[in-house]
Amino acid sequence: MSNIHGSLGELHALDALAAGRTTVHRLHPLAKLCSALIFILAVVSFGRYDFLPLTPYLFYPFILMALAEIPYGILLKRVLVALPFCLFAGLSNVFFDRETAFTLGSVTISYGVLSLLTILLKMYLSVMAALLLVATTPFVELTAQLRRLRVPMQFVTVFEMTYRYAGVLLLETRSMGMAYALRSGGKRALEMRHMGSFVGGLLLRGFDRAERIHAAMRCRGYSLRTVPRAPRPLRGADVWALAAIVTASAVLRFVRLF
Amino acid sequence: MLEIKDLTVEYADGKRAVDGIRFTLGAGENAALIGANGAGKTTLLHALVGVLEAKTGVVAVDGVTLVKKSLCTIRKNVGLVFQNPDDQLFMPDIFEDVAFGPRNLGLAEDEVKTRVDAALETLGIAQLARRSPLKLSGGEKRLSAIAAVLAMEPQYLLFDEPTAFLDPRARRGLAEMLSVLPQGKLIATHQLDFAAQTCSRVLLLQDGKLVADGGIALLGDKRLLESAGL
Ligand SMILES: Nc1ncnc2c1ncn2[C@@H]1O[C@H](COP(=O)(O)OP(=O)(O)OP(=O)(O)O)[C@@H](O)[C@H]1O
Ligand SMILES: [Mg+2]
Repeated sequence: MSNIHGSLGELHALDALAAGRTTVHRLHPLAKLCSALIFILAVVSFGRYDFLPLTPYLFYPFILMALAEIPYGILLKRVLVALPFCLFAGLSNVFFDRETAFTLGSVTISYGVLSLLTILLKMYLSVMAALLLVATTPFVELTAQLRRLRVPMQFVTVFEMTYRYAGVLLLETRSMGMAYALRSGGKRALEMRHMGSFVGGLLLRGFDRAERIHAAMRCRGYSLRTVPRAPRPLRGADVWALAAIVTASAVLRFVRLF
Repeated sequence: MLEIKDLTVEYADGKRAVDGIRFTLGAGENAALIGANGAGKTTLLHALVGVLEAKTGVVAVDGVTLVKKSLCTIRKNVGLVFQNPDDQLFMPDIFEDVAFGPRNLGLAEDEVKTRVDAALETLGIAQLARRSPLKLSGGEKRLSAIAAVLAMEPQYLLFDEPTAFLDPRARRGLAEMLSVLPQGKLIATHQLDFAAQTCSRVLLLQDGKLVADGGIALLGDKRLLESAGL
């Protein structure tokens, strides 16, 4: 069960990053949310073979990471999580779409490979944009902003709860696992015949904890209906940052460099 | 004044955990809520802030009756410190957690910060501000959970086993702090000496019923306490 501590650390690594104090962190959450959305929209709107025209968009994650002083490794690990899904989606193209797109020296690149690369790049760019948003904006501010934008409250709640309960569930797993191990007579792993009741118990405990945490939140004034106040009005810097990202995304979208 | 009239609370399985309780707690009054395990202390405290719905009876805080519509007002005026601090701390760090309530009250950010700092200071845990609640000791979590409630600046404080997880010194510190805080308090506890240190009044629960209500002299009544399972 020791890896649970690791997972907990993981879960809160982005939180720790979000507490930073750089220029990017200090931007208004609305500006960051909109730029990320527009960036992602621009990226996914490209055609399936548009690998080259997409490459200039790499400026966004790299510039932002440098400005926000975010170590590259942390985000990269998380992007890789999405990789298998995209590979799965893109690999079939490689087999079905064999027509040659162009040749690089002696290597022929088929349309299938080109589309796989495009899918991977799109995935990389959009996941990075989302991760960067989370890593530079404290979670509370992000959900507060979503609620100010009147995003349906069911959606925001699910988002908030998943985020909070992930940690709770991990902790419950740890304490149940510990209790199990201490009385299991030296067996290291969970026995198959106990698996059902362990997982069932874990779910029930998870619900129970979730309910009490939710009660504690309500006791301190948490309510879905109250729309949180904006931390501050938009400032010049927010507008400029937003304008710069929107303009760059649009220009790269419509003015083809390659 | 915190008024409780003929309050009855039942769980979904029909268990009547609080049964016809009636008492009032004056502003600034400190009362200990004692009773054996399962006597209904936690259930009563939860019903007072509307976490559990009463089957019958009335709860009123400074003249405001507890109904769905008044929940917000009641919870602003009555703060509950949960039995298990893990249930109460859910933000990435202690500062954020303590700030959670004041932010929900719609306070401006500098006012929030002032309140958080004051609450942490009062409990002597300013150094924990940027620590994650997942990595604190039981006692540190307890103090953080109390700070989280104090930052709401309620008129009444409800404590559910506040001494659990505290070492003797922290317990003494807590007793001192509680006697300094001006709010009216209802303190559920098994620790009779702690009750004697902090309260001037004792409410004794048994099987969901209020069986005694009086001064702390009650704590010396061995036979009464024993018959209530303590
Ligand atoms: N969710 C529940 N469903 C049904 N019965 C419950 C539930 N929670 C508590 N009870 C029962 O209600 C009674 C009162 O429980 P409560 O938790 O209020 O006791 P308590 O005085 O706080 O005890 P302790 O000192 O052990 O914390 C107990 O008999 C308990 O078994
Ligand atoms: Mg209890």
